[in-house]
Amino acid sequence: MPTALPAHLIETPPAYVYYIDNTDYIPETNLITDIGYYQNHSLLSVELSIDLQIIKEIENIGFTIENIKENSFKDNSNTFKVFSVELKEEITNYSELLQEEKYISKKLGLYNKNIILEMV
Amino acid sequence: MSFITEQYYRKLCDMLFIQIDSPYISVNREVLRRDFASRAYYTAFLHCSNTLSDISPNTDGSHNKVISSLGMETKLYMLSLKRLRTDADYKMEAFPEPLKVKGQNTPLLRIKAIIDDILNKNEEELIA
Repeated sequence: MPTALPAHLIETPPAYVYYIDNTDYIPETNLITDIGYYQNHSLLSVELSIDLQIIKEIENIGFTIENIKENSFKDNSNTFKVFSVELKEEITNYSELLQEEKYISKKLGLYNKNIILEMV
Repeated sequence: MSFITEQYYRKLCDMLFIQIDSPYISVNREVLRRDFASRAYYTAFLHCSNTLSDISPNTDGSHNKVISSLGMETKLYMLSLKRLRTDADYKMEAFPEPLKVKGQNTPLLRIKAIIDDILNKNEEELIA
């Protein structure tokens, strides 16, 4: 069973969570070079948790995150996760921000994961 | 103007937001914010219900039927509005949930943008 990276080895933002197991396969990705300690260890898979993927994408399009909250709710029998992101920037056009929100949601496949991204 | 139309609720939302944003209003703003969120959901819902050709309006379970008929993007935005409507109507804590820095009106601006987005969609775009 993969285990998460110990807390003291998680880098400061942008932080990554790595799932580690004992295999001989070491994927060649930029993420691996960020943590030299694990270059000599075997990795089953390297994956950013979805909240960190969201943070990364928001920062990639030029925004700064003031706060991020995670909630969930049920509608009928389905559970939906909500990531509410408060941006540092003052937003003058929320219709444009909605398009950025849609872009990130589509890129990360959030719709298919029942995840709602709310940016303000 | 017919009462049971999305345009009625849209006009109501616009009027509410002008009041919420006005420095001169003396009414409790939280009341207005809750009302806005509640009416916003119905504005979007009625547009979807009126636009989808296989939906019979005002039937039992029509809310669930309308939402489940939508494409994933619009469906999730409708669920987002529905959740906010439920919070506005029933949640005892402050509404909307206070942000860390930005003001209480900020989430309403996003709601406005969602309404604009959904109301501009035709049937094909709603189910895409």
